[in-house]
Amino acid sequence: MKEWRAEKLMPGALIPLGGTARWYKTGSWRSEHPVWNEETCKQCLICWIYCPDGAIKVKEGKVIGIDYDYCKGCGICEVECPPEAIKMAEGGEPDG
Amino acid sequence: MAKITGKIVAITGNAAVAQGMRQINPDVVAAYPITPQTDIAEEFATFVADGLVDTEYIAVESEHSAMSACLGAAAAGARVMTATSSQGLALMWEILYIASGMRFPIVMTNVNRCLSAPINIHCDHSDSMGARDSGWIQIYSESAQEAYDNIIQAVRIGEDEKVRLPVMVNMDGFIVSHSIERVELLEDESVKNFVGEYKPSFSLLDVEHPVTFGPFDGLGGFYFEHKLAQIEAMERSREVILRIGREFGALSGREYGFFEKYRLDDAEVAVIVLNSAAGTSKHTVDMMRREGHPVGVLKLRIFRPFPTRELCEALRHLRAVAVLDRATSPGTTGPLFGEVKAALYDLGKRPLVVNFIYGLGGREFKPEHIRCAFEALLEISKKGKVEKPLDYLGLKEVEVIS
Amino acid sequence: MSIKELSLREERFTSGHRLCAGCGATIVVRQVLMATEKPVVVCCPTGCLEVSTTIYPSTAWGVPYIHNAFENAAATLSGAESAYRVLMRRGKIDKKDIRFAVFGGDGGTYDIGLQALSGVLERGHRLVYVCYDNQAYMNCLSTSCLIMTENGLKRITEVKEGDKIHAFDQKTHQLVLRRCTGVFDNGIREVYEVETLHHSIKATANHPFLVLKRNGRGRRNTFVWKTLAEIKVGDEVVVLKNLHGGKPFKFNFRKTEKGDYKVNRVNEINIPEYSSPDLMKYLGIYVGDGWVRTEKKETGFALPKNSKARKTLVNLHSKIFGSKIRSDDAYVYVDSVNLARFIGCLGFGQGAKNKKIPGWVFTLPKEEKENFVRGLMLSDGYKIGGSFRYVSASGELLRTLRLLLQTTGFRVGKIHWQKKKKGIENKYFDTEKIKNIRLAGCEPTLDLRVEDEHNFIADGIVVHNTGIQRSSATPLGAWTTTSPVGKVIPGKTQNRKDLTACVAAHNIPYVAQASPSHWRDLVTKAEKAFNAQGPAFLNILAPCPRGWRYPTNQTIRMARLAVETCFWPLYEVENGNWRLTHKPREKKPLVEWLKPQGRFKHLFKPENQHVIEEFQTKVDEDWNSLLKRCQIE
Repeated sequence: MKEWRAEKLMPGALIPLGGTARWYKTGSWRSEHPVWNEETCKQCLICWIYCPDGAIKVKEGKVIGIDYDYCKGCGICEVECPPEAIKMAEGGEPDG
Repeated sequence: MAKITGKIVAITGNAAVAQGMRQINPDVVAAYPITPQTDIAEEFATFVADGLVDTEYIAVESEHSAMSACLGAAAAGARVMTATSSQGLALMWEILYIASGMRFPIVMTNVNRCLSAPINIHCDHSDSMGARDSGWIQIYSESAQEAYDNIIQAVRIGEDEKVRLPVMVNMDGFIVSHSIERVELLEDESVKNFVGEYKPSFSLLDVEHPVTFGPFDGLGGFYFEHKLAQIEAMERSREVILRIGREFGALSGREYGFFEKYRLDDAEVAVIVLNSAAGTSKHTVDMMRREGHPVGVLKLRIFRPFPTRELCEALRHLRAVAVLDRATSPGTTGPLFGEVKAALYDLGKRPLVVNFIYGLGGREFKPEHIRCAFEALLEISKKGKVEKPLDYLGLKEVEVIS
Repeated sequence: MSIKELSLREERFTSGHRLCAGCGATIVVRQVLMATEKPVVVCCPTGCLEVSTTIYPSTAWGVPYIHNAFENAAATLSGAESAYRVLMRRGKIDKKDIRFAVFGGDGGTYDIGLQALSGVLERGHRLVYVCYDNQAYMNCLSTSCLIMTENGLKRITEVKEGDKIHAFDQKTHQLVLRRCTGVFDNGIREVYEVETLHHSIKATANHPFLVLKRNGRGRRNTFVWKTLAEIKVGDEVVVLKNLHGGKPFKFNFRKTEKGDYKVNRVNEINIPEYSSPDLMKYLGIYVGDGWVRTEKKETGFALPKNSKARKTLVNLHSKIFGSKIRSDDAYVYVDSVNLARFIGCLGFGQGAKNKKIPGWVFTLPKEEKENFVRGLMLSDGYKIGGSFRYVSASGELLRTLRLLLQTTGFRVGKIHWQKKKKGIENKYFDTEKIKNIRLAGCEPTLDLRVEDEHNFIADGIVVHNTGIQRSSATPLGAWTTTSPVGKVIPGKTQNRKDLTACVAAHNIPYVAQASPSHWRDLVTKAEKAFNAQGPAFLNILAPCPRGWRYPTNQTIRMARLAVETCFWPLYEVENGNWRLTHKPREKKPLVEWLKPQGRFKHLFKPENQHVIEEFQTKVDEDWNSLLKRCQIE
């Protein structure tokens, strides 16, 4: 099943794998992008718990960055971040 | 109720189906009572209460939920059964298509009853005929014995890997469901072995391998192709139905095919019927044969998939055929008639075909009615043409303000 | 449970789902699922969460998932839960501690799915029913759309809040300027292209278009909004006429050649490729006094000898077509199969009573349109004083001529005899039949909100901002597309159904109301729900930027304000005991929650002040009765 593709139709139209939505990158929806400041971040993880798209990268309990593959640029993280360590910047793509 | 094993009993059609379900001992039954199916729901609940089965019985709050719960249970990999009738089947309507579209081999007994209005609890085939395009295999039963035999075969047919489609077993409300008949029950063990274990391909409970059942097809999706897959599964079911019918014959001495021919091969004219009307028709054929009339009966058992080729072979030698419909479709002919006539079209030399609607709302269907049909057929055969393509049998003489 | 510990758990709802940016429902799903580490089987009824998370072949569910239909999620999952119990009992599956959860929207829970939910609660299945309550049935235009604004055409992406946009006044059928009150990003969606004779527009399947509904003989035609999915080829949609000068029309005509089927001899004739002022004048004369008989390969004009019209026609003919003409005292004939076929296919209609002006004429440059009218006047018109009169046996011709004259800048009097009124008749709008609808692929989409008139003109076609339909969870006074704000009714006139209390009345082990803004409270409640020995119900507020009309970054703030104004109190009913789980330090006035939401905007007009007061009173009453239930003084 690991090599399953959409064109291989299963009986009853089922999707034989979980979480295949990861194949679909929603990052191009953005018109603004969040910029995370590691220096000012207090690692409260508030951005992570409020992100509708699971686009805050967390490793071993710590924020390590933004997943620009999936972030749709809603801006909730900027509004909710207590130390204001996330700022929305113009344009869909982060610099560099 | 005591455990019944491999013996001849006198029980109603509903009781026979309940016995079949007891012997199958499905994983889940979700049902809601409705006249004339109620006895099945009640009797099976009694089996559960008495520990004769260890089925999970869901006493749902509606038929819509009955079919929905069956679907959820089937997705979880369970062998699932239910039973309904009339308005209940109509309420399930939406989920019938989903069950077949998602390819779950749910087995359901439908006790044929007409659809309101006016509200009437008696037999006709409006309910199952209305569901004929829902992608379910449809089997019709003349008697309690056949209903019992069909329910057991239905499990194997639906669950066959080549098929994986839901199956609806029909029998006539009251006429069969509530009449006590002689029924030969198989040994419990024989039924258990015959139906075997159900091995689903995917299950909701396989949490290590999560799957998504029922995704949104999108607007540029594969709906059409999935429907084709379903159509092909229905085509493959033909061979499976015949194979299971033979296997069941070897087990019980009662072999089943797509239909039963009664004094048909040497007949000149014949009627085609579904369900219990076959009994009355056979009786009348015997009487009329004694009077020297070349009459016969074809009792159709499998309505979906429709056995076009085999039906043509069985009917091609006849001069005239009457299709008896216990359902109507205002604005056109009876549903069975339309299909039979269409099937015969491809024959170069074909019998003349005429439609009789009978027995709506449980109106009695007597030998004199079937005699009327045969006499009309003999007349058509003599004249070589049909003058009245659609007629009604057994109407009361009353003033009708329409 | 600390947030850090939660973050170490596996994400079971994956990124890459197609819900809107800033969607509250997805935050709810993530927070609920992180409350347990046990395997969970999920069922969703039909709704935005279901559709956007399982667009084949992609599924955002990392857990086993099933969707059956709209009204039966509870019943469906009760079947799976029953199967789980029996299959374990029978030893058909390994012993596993599986949990079951429904995520249903308010439509699938409060309304159509209520019966199945009630059945499940009564039967006592061990499952958690989560209602993500976004308070309406939620449902856009491609970013390539051109919008008619005060300052000419703009790409939809360039339209900003406050810009003036041309809209269609549904009462007077006139072109009006309205302020744009919001631009909404709807993400990347499948986009369809709708083509009419002169227009084409790209939009998503749920986008509404204004469609002419013909009500039959003697009845007035009306307009209805239909979504793209509902419209079909042949439907007549309202389109904007060309206000500015058009382009010459390119004819798509293939000449019959000698040797073609049944053709032995063809008179040589030039057929123009494009329309021109001369040709239009010629055609004007034709519409007035001409006929074609294709079967006789003949074009004829009833123009008497020595008339001015005949002279003009003969000159134009030789100039444009360059072929011979045959004539007698009363008539002029052209024997040419190609001319007859050419004129025949232009759409001017056959026979004096059925003549009309086809749509393409409206798209021509001003000069060509004027020349067409001149030709027409030359044939059948006559002059009285300073004005022209035109008489025709064809009502349709008169009506189309009037429209043509209006859009060309002539002043036109009334038509004195009319057969039947068409659905629309003015200089700005017309209806055009839809020629084609096709999938154009996936594109980013935006939607605009327009004050008063909830429609605007995109690529020349009148479209509506998309549907947000009322449910029994919609609050009092809220605007939705099915509880519109009108002159006499200010939005939804009924209060919300208190579903949480309805469910609590089933006396199930655990019922709670939660909000994603108060995540710790929510996760704790979800944990309790998963551990309940029977049915559990969570009613969770899920703010929806599109439906509630607020910017996408305000989702959590909206949820928090709902709690702080006591519109959405946080409480639980555990084995019959009501307990308030969060009491706002200071109860904020309701207006603080209403004000930022576009759906309540109309309530801030002076005449609707009473609705806000009523709403506040209702919230206060509910809050006080909840405090009593929770035995708080």
